[in-house]
Amino acid sequence: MDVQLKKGVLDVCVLYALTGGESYGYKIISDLHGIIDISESTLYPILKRLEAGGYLVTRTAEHNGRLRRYYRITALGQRKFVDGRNDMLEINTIYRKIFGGKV
Amino acid sequence: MTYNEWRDELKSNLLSVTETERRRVLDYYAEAYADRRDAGYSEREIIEYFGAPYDAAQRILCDFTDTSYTGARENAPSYSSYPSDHRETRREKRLREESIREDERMRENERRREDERIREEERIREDERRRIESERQAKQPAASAKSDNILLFVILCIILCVPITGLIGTLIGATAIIFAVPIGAVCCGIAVIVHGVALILQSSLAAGLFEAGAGVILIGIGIIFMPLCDKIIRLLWKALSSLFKWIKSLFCREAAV
Repeated sequence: MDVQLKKGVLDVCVLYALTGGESYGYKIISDLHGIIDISESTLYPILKRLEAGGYLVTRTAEHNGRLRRYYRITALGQRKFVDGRNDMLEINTIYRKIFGGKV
Repeated sequence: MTYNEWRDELKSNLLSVTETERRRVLDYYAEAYADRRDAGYSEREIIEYFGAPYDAAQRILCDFTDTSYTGARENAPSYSSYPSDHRETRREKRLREESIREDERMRENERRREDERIREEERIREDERRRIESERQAKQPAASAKSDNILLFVILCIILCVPITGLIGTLIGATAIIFAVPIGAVCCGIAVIVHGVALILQSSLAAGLFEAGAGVILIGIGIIFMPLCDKIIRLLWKALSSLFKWIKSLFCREAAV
């Protein structure tokens, strides 16, 4: 898959994983398993980029005697997710027009 | 590779980012590792999921060069914009501070280990250099002593060549003389026997028999003395050979030392 296209798709997928509420790294990967497989090494820069863009915020809380960082989608992130979903629908429409339902 | 080794390698590949960012990355992976361990994954499986530390570092570093990433930073919300109903508890703060201190302790230990390793390598290099130096010095005196011995030998040969030649000539002459005695006796005995037979044929029976007898005695003396002379000659040559061996041992002993 094209790098920029994949980046956009992964951003949407991660935001989708956060639409259900606050989450953390391993849980995001687990929730996306079956949709798209990503590793921690792929996820970290995505989370960093989304946080820097204001699409999510983080907090640190104690969990089982250690610290865990939680991520939560912001309103800006919700709008980005909706835009990303619409882009995917558009791509799907173009795909159907080109390939007519054939693989 | 253990997780700690993986993490150390990741850290070494992130030296170009700030300390804060590096710490955040390591915390992220520490958390991810702990979550997967809680989920039942083994250390080896987790490291396989994480991938090579170099690749993980490159993904992080490449993300820093993304221009869109840089532009969006200005709008990034600060930590305080998070819901104000959450405050970091004292326990969370203490855990965070303990984590920072632990990292500092580990960095200090790593620096100490690195210093010890460097000192050990220097010590080994110094020992090796001293060993090579002492070997080189040990060879030098032997080499110089050997060359001195050869020079002395040549000088002695030049000085003593006349007496040594005379000694060898004397020995050859003595050998010839000593061998000549029994051979001469045998030859004389044969000549006397022949003269005695001639006298007998000339009707001087008594004189002829006397001379024949004397000739036989001479031959007998010659034969008897031949082994004795052989022994004497062998002794003389052996003595000369021993003399030369003794002279050689004088030079070779110093070279062996």
